[in-house]
Amino acid sequence: MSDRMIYGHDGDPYDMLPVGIIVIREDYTVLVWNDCIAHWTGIPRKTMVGTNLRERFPHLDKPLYLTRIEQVFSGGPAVIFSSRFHPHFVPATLQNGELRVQSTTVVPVVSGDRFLAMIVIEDITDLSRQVRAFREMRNVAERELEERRKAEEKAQRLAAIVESTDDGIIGMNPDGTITSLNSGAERLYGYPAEEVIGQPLSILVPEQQSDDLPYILSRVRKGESISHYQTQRKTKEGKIFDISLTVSPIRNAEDRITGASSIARDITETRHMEEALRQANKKLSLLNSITRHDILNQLTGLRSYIELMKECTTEPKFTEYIRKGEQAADNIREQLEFMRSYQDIGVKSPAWQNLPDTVRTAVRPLDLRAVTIVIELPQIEVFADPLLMRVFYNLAENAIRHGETVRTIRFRFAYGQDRGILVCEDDGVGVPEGVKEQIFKREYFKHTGFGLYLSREILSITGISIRETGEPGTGARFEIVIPPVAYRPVC
Amino acid sequence: MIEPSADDVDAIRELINIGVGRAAGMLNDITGCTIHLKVPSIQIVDIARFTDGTQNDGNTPLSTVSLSFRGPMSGLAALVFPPESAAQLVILMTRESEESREMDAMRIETLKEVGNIIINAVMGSIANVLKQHLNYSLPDYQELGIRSLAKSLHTRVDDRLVIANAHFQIEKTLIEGNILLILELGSMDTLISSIHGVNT
Repeated sequence: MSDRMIYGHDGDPYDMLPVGIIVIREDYTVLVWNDCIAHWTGIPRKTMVGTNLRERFPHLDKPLYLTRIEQVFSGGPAVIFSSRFHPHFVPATLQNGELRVQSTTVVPVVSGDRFLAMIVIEDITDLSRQVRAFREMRNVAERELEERRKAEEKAQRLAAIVESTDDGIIGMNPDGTITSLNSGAERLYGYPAEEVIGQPLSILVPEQQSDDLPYILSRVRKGESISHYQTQRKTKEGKIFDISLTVSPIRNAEDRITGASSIARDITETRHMEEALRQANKKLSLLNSITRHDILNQLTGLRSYIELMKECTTEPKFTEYIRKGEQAADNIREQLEFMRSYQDIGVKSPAWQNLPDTVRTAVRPLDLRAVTIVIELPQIEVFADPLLMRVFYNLAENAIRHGETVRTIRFRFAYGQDRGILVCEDDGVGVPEGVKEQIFKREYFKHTGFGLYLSREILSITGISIRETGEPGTGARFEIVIPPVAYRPVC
Repeated sequence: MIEPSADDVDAIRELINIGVGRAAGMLNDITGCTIHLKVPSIQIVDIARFTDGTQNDGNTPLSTVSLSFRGPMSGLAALVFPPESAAQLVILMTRESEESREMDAMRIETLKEVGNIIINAVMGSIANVLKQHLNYSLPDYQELGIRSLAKSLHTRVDDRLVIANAHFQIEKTLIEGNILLILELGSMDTLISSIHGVNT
């Protein structure tokens, strides 16, 4: 290599290159500072040629650089300084103020009997930016792929569940046109899928239930779900059967309702069992009634003999025995009264009952001259034992009898997230803190008429619970908690 | 052709270990990571009979940083990894948060520096023994099998291949690669003679 090529001059071939070229001697004196590096750094050739590179760029005066570059001066292999560990070998600023990202190679150049070091600096700012952008894109794509894979797995799992269930699942448009059905639905209704897809759902509805389809579709279009709705459907052969129906709206990504899913469970068998249970209850009730009647007859006889015995003696010892016998007979009569009340519970099947109407009917026999009953209830139906009315009677009657200062008894309803709460509250003395749970025990029977014990039993038949949550001194408040399957708006 | 004795093989392994020891020190300084680098074993085989039953058959593409040299000893020095190990090595050294195991342009550039440091250190050890100057090519990165690498040098069947198993211990992770020396005809003899010269 000629001196002219090594030492910096205007018009050097190095100036033609689109990379920064610096040639240094072993003592780090700059011999070549090409146009490109002069342009990047803003430091002209005449300033740099002849000066010491380590003095101008002190970060290079470290063993990390010196040891490796030393190999080059002894004719060793080229040395690479990557942008990852040495992004700014010779700091050079871009117009936007950022530093150029550099990839640097130092190669030995023979000059006579010695080696010079040629530092070749590539600007890879754009490349590093593109790689970063590519990595971000790839990460986004990988995340999306992962999400899609998970979604597909979930969809496959759900599809397997849908296909394997005995429940009849039907997909439909908001107007009630059938769009899909699972094999459970094919078995339940007796139609192959291809025969009913595109048909209106009404082909599965018996004439006597024709009203409930418009009701269901109107609820779906409002975005509401229907749970465990008991109705009837018919098969392809015209056989009518009982079902429990759950219908939910289907929404697209824009949250618009695009259809509905309907899950039907055949409850014919359940209905048969309920009927068998009803018959058994009826027989038990009859047996209870006859037995109770016979015992009462015997009790009447016993009371008569006790009265006769009272007339026969004034002996204190016998008089005390007679009093205890009389007490025992009274206890038997009270227990028979409890049996009479209890025997009616669960005998008749639970039924949907209009809530405000039931409350109104329940409180009608009460003496309401000193008390006002306020009924603030929505038009809803509650699925409960037919003795539900006696629960409301009992609550109001207890308030009047034990509330002392009661002037108003209020019935209201609150919609919870996963339940409905019917509240019966008064403005009397309330229930003392220590007995809030005690009042639901059987021992309280004689103090509370029909008994909160029986009220709780009646309600529990359909999963409804009752508790007292009032503040002592400001009135009693009974909360009747109704699960979503046990109440519905009136159609 | 001199057949290397067990002592010769030990001496070559020692030369390589001196080189990688120096390289590990530099890598520690550059990366700020605690890196241990050692060569527990080497094997010397004829290039024609090369099969590495433990990793590949010589045709599986590997991430390779290589450097050829000419002079009293001619051939090629290379640092090779399976691509996923190469990416993992770079990720650990640069403390990247990226999880992808692909070698992109920036990772290749980083691996080139790592390979350059190790190969230069190893060749520095060898050159010290030779006491003669070698001419080197610029370092190169390629993804190709060892056979293709050898072919690119126009090697002959009796050229020798030194395979040094390299263990990189970075923090708690162990990454295995190989340092390869392909020595063209007569170069192994030159190396062994130089080693014998040092020992006498």
